[in-house]
Amino acid sequence: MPDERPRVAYLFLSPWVAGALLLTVGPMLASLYLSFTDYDLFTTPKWIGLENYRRLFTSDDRFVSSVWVTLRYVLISTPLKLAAALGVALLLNRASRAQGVYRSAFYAPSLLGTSVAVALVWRVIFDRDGVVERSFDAVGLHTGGWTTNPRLALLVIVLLAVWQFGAPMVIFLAGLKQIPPELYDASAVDGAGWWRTFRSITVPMLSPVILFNLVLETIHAFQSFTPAFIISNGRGGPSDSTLFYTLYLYQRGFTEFRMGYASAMAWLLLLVLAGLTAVVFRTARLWVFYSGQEQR
Amino acid sequence: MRPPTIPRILWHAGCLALIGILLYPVAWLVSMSFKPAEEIISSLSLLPDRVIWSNYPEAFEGAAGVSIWTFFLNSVLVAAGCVLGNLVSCSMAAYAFAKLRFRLRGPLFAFMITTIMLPYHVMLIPQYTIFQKLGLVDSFVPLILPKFLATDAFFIFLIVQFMRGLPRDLTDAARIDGCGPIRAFRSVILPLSKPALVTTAIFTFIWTWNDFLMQLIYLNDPEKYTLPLALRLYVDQTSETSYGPMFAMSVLTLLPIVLFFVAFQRLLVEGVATSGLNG
Amino acid sequence: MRPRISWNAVRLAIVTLTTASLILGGAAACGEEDGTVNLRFTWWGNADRAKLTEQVIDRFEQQHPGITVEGTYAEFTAYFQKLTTEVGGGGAADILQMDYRYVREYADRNALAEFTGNAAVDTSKLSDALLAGGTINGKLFALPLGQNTQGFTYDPTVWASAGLTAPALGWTWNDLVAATQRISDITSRRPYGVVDFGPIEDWFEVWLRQRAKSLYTEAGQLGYTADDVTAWWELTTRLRTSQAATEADLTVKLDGSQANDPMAKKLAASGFGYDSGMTPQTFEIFGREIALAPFPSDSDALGQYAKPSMQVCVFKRSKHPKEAAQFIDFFLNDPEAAKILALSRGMPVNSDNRAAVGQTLTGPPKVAYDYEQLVGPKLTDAPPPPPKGAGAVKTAFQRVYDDVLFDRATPREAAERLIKEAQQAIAE
Repeated sequence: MPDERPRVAYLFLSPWVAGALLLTVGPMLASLYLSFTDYDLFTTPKWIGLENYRRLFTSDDRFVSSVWVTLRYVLISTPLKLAAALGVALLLNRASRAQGVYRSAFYAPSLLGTSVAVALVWRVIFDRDGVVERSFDAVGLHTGGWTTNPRLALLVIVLLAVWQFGAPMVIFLAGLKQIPPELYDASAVDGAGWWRTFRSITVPMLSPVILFNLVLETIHAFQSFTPAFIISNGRGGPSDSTLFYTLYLYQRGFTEFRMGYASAMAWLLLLVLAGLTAVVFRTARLWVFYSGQEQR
Repeated sequence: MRPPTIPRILWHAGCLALIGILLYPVAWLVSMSFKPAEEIISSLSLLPDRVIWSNYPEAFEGAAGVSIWTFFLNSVLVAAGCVLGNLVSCSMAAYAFAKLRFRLRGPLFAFMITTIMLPYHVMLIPQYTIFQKLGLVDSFVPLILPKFLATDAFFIFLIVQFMRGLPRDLTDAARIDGCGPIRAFRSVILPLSKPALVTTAIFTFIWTWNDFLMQLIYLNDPEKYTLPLALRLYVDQTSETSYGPMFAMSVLTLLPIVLFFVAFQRLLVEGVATSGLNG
Repeated sequence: MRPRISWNAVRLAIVTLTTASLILGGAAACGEEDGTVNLRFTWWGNADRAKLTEQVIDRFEQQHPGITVEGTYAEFTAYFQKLTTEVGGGGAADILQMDYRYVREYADRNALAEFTGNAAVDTSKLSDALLAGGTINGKLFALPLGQNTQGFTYDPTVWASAGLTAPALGWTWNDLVAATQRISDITSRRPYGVVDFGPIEDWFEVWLRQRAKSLYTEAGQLGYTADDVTAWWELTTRLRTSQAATEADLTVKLDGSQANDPMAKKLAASGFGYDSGMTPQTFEIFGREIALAPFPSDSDALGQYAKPSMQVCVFKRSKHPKEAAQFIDFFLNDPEAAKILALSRGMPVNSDNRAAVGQTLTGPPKVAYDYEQLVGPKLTDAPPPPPKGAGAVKTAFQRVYDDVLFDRATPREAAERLIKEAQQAIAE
């Protein structure tokens, strides 16, 4: 039974409301307005209506290729990363003295972030004559350097993203810890096997966290910027094969000073993501189980 | 109930094998810091042909006449401020969204999620303009204040999801005991949400520690630079890059967060089982 | 119980640290009340450049009580990311280091102050050829911080062991083709004869100038056609196909950094570059000695020019344009400052200082200095700063060439696409 006194609710919300009013709403509306203008950052924006949007859809080949690159990336990296995160979380969710050490080790790649040093290491590994190419050569597959091959460069960035699965893993782990152990005990008493326990207890109890990771990782993947920026040195190459949506947006806004155009791209992405998220939340009613709320 | 021995060995072997693969690039990172510049850019073997130590003393010299300890202290201050900000403000907002009922809950929640969806690059300049007008550029305020105002919707959503999953009988019990929502928040909900809060703290710390862009934009005086900024001081495409010290500095930058994570991940384990239900 | 205690300790520590950080952060905004002028100077570059720059700032502050200068620096990409945000938000530093490619982007958008009146700088010892690179419609918006010029870097040992004479003034593009082919053949492409120079607009520009053309006309239009680009890319494609030039794998990575330079990695025996690339540790990083020669040319024109390696500007909204100009004047003309800075931003631009600094050089910078002495008489004026959109064209040049590298387009197809993109970029 939720509390009925709205004033208290707004009290708890007050920092967030203040932040939204001071730092979020204004800049968001500003960028929405700018998306209808020709704006070069330094001079007054000029209203051009839907021109930016029209140009995106009709006369910008690079925009189209950035959309494809991003879609491919999202569809490959998100499931892989979530599967890795959930798999390792389940692997680690057991009593053992080594558990803390393992957990730290699995999280280590994510501690590195995406710094210049990481990018350099990553390039060395996937470069020509690097360990990856040599391994593939050994089994008779001649790939050449991966980062410099337009067909494989995106995969290198996918692998970098999957490698850093630590954040969703920790969130899954925290979710697993929250499942009352009595439930598992009861299941064991019932003689349920591993798979049945997983399906009938773990997944439903974990579903709020699964929803969270799914939504956030998808949004995150759509917005992915730094890995591509740092691996391809801000270019999205070779041959635009790693030109992510936001990387192109950045190039337009920050290196070509077309902030109006970049803002239009940003809002288009927002609309797509909002639509997608709405769909996920709609379906969530069917599969997400909140033990803290009334059954529907 | 201890598991039988063979599955346990298999479990350890599986974990170690996976870890070996995952840590291979990390090993590269460390070994690079012991290589001379020439080898860093042209060698293809993991182990250095010639181990040198001088990258570390060079990194310890700091950059731009500022000591490495200053960068370190600045990073700690910023990260700690952000952690505190996120813990306080996001847990409050999350409580309202997850457990309280008010008219605008649906629309406000939807708006909160929407704020995550706009690429931050288009927000950068408007937000900079605000802080510039407030005269707060070149201080830690633009880095920390937003966290106290719960602008990290990611964490609000995260904590909301955990709070929604809290057993109802527990939270209702508080009400039946005559707790007001404020006391229920402090003495029931917060302790129960510890896994989510620890997660928030750890992520905020690490992500702030590694964040480059915001710190780049808002800090001008090298005395206020943080470690990620200092790291990039070694790299310049147009002139000579000091690769060796950069890798040494990367390793040094990594150490504190490794320690931080190792120390705090322990709190993740405790979950509800140890801190909530029986307490 | 134990976890609870550590939890509280953590909380206490965090509160203390945050309070401290907010106090420290808040203490930032002060100064200016006692009549001192605070200037901010930002530049890109590495730690060595920063150390030398800070020394010059100290010296300036000693001689100019009442003015303080705060230096900020970052690497090139980050620098422009920050500068764009700051200029967009109206809060950039007073003194900005500027890239030749971007001067016009900022000046045309009214973000730079003109060096004139009491904000003028003494340019009597600077050559007009260099000043032209910062002059837009007769107004001076950017001063050169250093001079460099294009050149051909090569590994003299490999060239000699292939039985080749060192490249020198008067050598031709055919000589280049023959020599690099010979190296690749003799060494079985370890190293390749030359780094594929197709993707780099800078080298294409020299080639154009040898043919009495230019990247941009005076009016800011494209100064070349698809035919020119096709010819250029057909030349490099021929070199690549015959394996005289580096393969696509290596070429596609070129980004100006040493980590991705096949020359630095001993994978190529020569390549085009700027002489300012000869930094004190070049030989150490490259693992061998490198020499410099002029561009090959089929005409009397060498095509190279004295280029401002980087420039310096004053932000339009600076409250202290006079003091900013004073600082820049000191930075360019003070003999001691020049001695400290040496070649950290390219050849000194003040001719007296250049001669004085030249005496003191050793190693790679000496090679660059001698080279400038050699080609100096053949250098022509820098073209006026490129028009808005030129930055986008430069990156497009390299990006479109990727498609040639991976056989996704013929040089002709790619050239035509480039022209279309370039015209769009400078017109918008």
